[in-house]
Amino acid sequence: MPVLAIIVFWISTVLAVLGGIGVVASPAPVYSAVSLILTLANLAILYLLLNAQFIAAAQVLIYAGAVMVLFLFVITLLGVRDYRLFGDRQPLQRYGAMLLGALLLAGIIYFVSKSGTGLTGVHSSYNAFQAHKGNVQAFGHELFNGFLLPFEITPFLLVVAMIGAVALGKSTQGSRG
Amino acid sequence: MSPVVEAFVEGVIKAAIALGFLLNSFAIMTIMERKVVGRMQQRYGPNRVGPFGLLQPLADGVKLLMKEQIIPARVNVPIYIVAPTISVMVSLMAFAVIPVAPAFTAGPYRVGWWISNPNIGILYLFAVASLGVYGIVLGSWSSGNKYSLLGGLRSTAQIISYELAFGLSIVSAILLAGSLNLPEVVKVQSHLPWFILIQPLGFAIFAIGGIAETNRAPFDLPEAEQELIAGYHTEYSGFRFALYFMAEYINMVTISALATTLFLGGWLPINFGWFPGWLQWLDNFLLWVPGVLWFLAKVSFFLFAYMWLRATLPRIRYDRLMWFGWKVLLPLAVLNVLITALYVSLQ
Repeated sequence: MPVLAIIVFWISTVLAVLGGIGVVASPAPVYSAVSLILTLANLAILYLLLNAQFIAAAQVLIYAGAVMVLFLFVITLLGVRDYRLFGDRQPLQRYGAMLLGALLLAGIIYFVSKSGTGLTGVHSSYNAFQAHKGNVQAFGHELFNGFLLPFEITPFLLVVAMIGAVALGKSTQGSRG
Repeated sequence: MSPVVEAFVEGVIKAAIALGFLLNSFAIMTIMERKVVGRMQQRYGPNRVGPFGLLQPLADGVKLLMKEQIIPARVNVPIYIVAPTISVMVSLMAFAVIPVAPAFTAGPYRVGWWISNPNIGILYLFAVASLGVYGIVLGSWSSGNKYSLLGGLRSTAQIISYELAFGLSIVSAILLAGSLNLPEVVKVQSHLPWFILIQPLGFAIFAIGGIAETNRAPFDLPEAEQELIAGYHTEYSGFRFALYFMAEYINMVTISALATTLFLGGWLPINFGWFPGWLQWLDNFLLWVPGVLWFLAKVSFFLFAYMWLRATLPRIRYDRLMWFGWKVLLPLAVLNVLITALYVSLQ
């Protein structure tokens, strides 16, 4: 990796981790949401370093640009109360979360140490670097040839979720258009 | 110098040029808007500062800089300060992939008239532009003022709603071009007609969506002063207010540049190849005019159209705005994409 890439990698990694800490540690929900946006944006930069341009753009567009806007929308509209991380409520949940988090961390450390430097996340046959026509073409090709069924099932799930939202949101006292 | 350092230096120089261009265009547009709207309303517009009032932006800038920056009592300070910065940063970042003119060769270097040219140029622009909402949401929330919050919520709902139709209208142009790379989209239009001729409906949806995305009249509901004072920037004054103002105008430039690139052939000259022989000189002249000037002329036309619309059309009521976005614009955009996709796949 060139020097510039290493510098960018470290900056965005540190910012992503700081954002992650911010999500759980901030008392105000708005700060948590802003921290999450920071993390998502820096993850997009890490994707760019892996030459996964399409995933990076999709990450910003969908998670940072759409999902988090709705989060903030709800938080600002409803005026959610502040919540202290080490407040005295729900001790059971806190210890349970610590335990599960430790387990997850142990699992990640185990697998990373086991696979060593081989863990790149890039399957040799899907190497987007080599696809000279570019990232998006390679991605679309795989999507419509290798993964057509999952790709078609996902929109179906989204439609189910949308129908559910409409059914829940519908007023019980007659229709108001 | 190693290629990495060269690329870095090149990027920094180009970014500095683009920054200067955008900030100057902001200054010019403020005076242009007041002049144009003034003339359309049978007024003179500003004409006291300097010749023809041309130094007015300078005076405005000094005034805004020297003003006290009031931080009201019920404000959430860190977010209140960061929010306008987010707006400006995002609007500046979006311009990075706009191709102004074709690449040229200077000595050993091949230089493009763009800061960056990723394969996914249009996706990048769209992704970055979708972040602009945060400046508005956070600014309106942190002001601790219910009118700000209502204005911010309206504006967010409007941007999210119109983003869909806007994005789909871009898709129809992309389908024709067969590339997400912006210079490539322009090059395709040199042998096809400009996409505004093939995609009149797509262009109309793009234009309407673009105006709604930039919160400009007749879609400037967040600033409906009769109901909401000044919307999300009610509590902002001095330089922070200027930042919001700047973001709005730079977004207008970017949307106009995108419209030029996608639908009006970017830097390409108007082609009258079918002219009879005795008008050949006119065609030659049009071809001789450099691409940068063509690009600037097209962008300026769109910016003028923005002001024209503001002086002409009344503001739309909020429920009509939502109705129009979801029930008219979105179905039309989907239909347009379907027809375009069918046409492209049958070719």
